[in-house]
Amino acid sequence: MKTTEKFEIFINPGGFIEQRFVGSQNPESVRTAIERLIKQSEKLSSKKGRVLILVDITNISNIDVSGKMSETRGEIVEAMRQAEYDRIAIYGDLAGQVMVNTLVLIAGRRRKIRVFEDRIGALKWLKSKA
Amino acid sequence: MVEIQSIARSNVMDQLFSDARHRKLQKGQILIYEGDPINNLFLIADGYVKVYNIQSDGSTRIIFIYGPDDMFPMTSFLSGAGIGRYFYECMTDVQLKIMPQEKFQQALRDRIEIGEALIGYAIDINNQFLGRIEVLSVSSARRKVVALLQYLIERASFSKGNEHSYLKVPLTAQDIADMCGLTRETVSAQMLKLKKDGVISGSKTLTIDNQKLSRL
Repeated sequence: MKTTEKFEIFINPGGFIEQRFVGSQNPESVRTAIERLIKQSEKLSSKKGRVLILVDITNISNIDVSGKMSETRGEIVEAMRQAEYDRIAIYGDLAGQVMVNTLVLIAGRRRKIRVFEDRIGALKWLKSKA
Repeated sequence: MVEIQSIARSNVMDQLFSDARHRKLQKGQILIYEGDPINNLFLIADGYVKVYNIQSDGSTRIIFIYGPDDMFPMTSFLSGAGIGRYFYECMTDVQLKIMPQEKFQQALRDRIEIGEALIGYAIDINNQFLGRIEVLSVSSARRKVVALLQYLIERASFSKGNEHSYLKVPLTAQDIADMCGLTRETVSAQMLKLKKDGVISGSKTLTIDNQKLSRL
């Protein structure tokens, strides 16, 4: 992880993309994370069928609801609409779940993106058949 | 700033619930049971709703109170589980606006400005929940009752000038005990001390001396 990055992204041996956010986020760190995620999903979709993504937001230290992050939240909504993927499972604490789920509803992607309290629940849905 | 946020929030709620159906409920009616799927969202037009859970000894623990212009259960609806985490019961007669969650989802689609307001509101409510849960874990009975009065001033009171706050919700000693996680006897003893100190007056509808309370 580079010092400017506040996330890790890698291909899980299970064949899906895994992204883990760490610490307090800012517009730049989120933007970089989205770009990297889109690149990985494009790479994976060109190779084989389903693109599955697991996102861990449990270690984001606080959810910034200020106007400073408004534009970034808009970019997340746009990425949810534009990116190539079959399913995204996101897990984290209650505040994180609330924020992500609201963005999912705005993007109209509730069937493809789901939010969970824990990793097990997220993995179970991610790997289940459509 | 708080005033502006409150007006903005109120406008957002009005937009979202513009064609919601209205319903009147009586004191004591339970709207949501713990574990219920969240099929509807509610906006309070008038009255108060208490949020509680049942302890292992069968007693109830009131965690939160929703009042006019509050919407619930936002965090349960927007969490991954999508089920009620608590019981929601009318503390007074209540007038509600009700919106099915599918309709709510449609109203939210493509509307980032409304989403922003909802995120702020839901996280603010969640933080208040966490604050209440933290107070409930405090061991001092006096500290619990004082913290509850401060919470009630914030959520369910009106003021005439800055000196006194008047609670809008009639509370019994048992209600206060359920909100503090104390026995009714302990609450009665603490309330008596606070009355002697001039911090509170009245019986069911309490009047609180803001300055004396802030010194405790």
